[in-house]
Amino acid sequence: MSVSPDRGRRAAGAVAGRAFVLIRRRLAQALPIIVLVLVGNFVLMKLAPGDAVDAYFASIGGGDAGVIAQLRAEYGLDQSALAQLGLYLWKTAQLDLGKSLLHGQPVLTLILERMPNTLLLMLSGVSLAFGLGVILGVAAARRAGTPADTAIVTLGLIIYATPGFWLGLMLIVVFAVKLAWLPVSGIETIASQMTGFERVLDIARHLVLPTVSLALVYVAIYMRLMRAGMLEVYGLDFVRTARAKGLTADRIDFRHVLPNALLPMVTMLGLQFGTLLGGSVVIESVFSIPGIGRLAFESVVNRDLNTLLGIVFMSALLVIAVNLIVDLLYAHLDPRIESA
Amino acid sequence: MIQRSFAERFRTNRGALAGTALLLLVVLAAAAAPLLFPGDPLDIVGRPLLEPFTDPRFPLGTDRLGRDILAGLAHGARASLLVGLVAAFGAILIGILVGAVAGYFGGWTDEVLMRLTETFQTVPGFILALALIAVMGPGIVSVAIAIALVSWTGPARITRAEFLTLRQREFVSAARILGLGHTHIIFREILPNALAPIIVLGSVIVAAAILIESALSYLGLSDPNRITWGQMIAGGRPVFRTAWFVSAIPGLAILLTVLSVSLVGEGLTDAANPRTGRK
Repeated sequence: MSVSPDRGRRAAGAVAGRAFVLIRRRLAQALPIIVLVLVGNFVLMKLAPGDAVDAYFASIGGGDAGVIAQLRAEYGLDQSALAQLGLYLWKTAQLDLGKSLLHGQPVLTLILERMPNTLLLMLSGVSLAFGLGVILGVAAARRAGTPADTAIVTLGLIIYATPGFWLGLMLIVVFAVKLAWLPVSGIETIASQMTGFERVLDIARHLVLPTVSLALVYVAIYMRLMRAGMLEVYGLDFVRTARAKGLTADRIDFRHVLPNALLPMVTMLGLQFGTLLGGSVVIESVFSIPGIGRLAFESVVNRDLNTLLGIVFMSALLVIAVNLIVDLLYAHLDPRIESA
Repeated sequence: MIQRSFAERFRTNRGALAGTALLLLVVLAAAAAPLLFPGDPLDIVGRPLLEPFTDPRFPLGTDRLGRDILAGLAHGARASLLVGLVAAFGAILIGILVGAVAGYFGGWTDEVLMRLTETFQTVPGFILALALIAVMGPGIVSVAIAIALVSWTGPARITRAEFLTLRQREFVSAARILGLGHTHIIFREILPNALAPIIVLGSVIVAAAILIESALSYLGLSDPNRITWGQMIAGGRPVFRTAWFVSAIPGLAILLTVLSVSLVGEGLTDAANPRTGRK
């Protein structure tokens, strides 16, 4: 059952072909989901009190009735609901997400501007959660049933119960205010004109506390999964064979059990990506990081529904893309999976 | 090994017992809040920013406006538990309905409902919750509805899986031959047999719902006239450089409450699966 060693000998063409089939199938599955997200968005837009034109004129303090009617006609808001839905789908297909009422810029521009900060935060968060989760999970599984195992499992439960935003505040108190080791907020020092490596280091220092706050819940989840995965693989026949061969415990754990227990974790990475993106809303707000999450929060507070629904759509696309990448990675790691 | 009863397995699990005790304490505090701390917890009652354990009248100190933190905790427990339970109940109800119909009827119904479930799983839950609150307007009811609407996919999947296997069983065929209607078969015959794993998942959903509620009320999207733990943490934000306890205490309350719910859930899972639970 171990990961097959002849993987390298596999013809490269066959692998590429399989990847292509997988991508095509996943995209076909994703299409109805994307349409459903957009229909959902449209329903929310219709349910909201007043339409975009109302909201616009409310924000600038009223306007001439003729101008209002003209603008409605221009946006197609005087047509039937079905025609409006068609128009919305057509516009979104061209990546026209409308304008933000609050910022006066196209929603897509706003989102793409803030995307890199969020992706950076998430990437560092996932890496920390995955790495620490695997280490703790393996450590617990190797000592299953001992007090050390119980301690790690209990720690996991406590971490899981900790609200990330509160942890962030407490970390700021300790490491930024009392000890003054790390900056309080933001993604980089403003107007510092740092370049190159200096700037990278500056951003990294700003990212430490938000990353820990975002990742800790997932450390608990990955740790649990890793521990359960290891324990499951321990019970399989090939591990018994390895023991019977007289292999050392370390070799069995790290060469035979660990790689097999890691595989389901990869799937989990994709599945958890959406919740991680949601979690970054609060973390970005706590640390004043100009990312998509903070943009989403500002949009709710200022009733900028257009921007908010644009974020819903773009984050759904992002989740689909990440899951596709994870699937490809999985198919590469485990050739037995025939893109089921 | 001698098979012990469910209750006995739960009783001998130290973690589950500790969790139950802790949870009872929170429930008691929530229930007794109006008796122990009569009056509005948002009223100013003393000097602002009194440190904990300095004034016997305010054992946990006062916040930036001079409001009793302990009274806030007790009253805040009501909102947390209420929203957590109502939202989780709503989520499980929606999940059972969707999962049961999908699993029982199969075919096109299943296909459509599963696409819908996948769609809800694709959109990040917290962002969807924000969008729902933006449409409904902030408030405790909107928060509960929003949490329920982003949490039902787990129960739906489990219910569907249970229904897919159970509908093949003989007692279901027997019910069909007897001429019982679909509604009767779904809710009276199959559902009682499918409930156990759904209820175990319930504790996870309650814990998650309390955490989401705290985050939403921290962001100020709940009812401003009703005290919540998340709101208390946000209230400490402007003074947290000097008086960090104002934010720290309600956060600890959230942590302990969610921990107690998780411990009870773990206990239930272990007691329900004596062989797989404790490895």
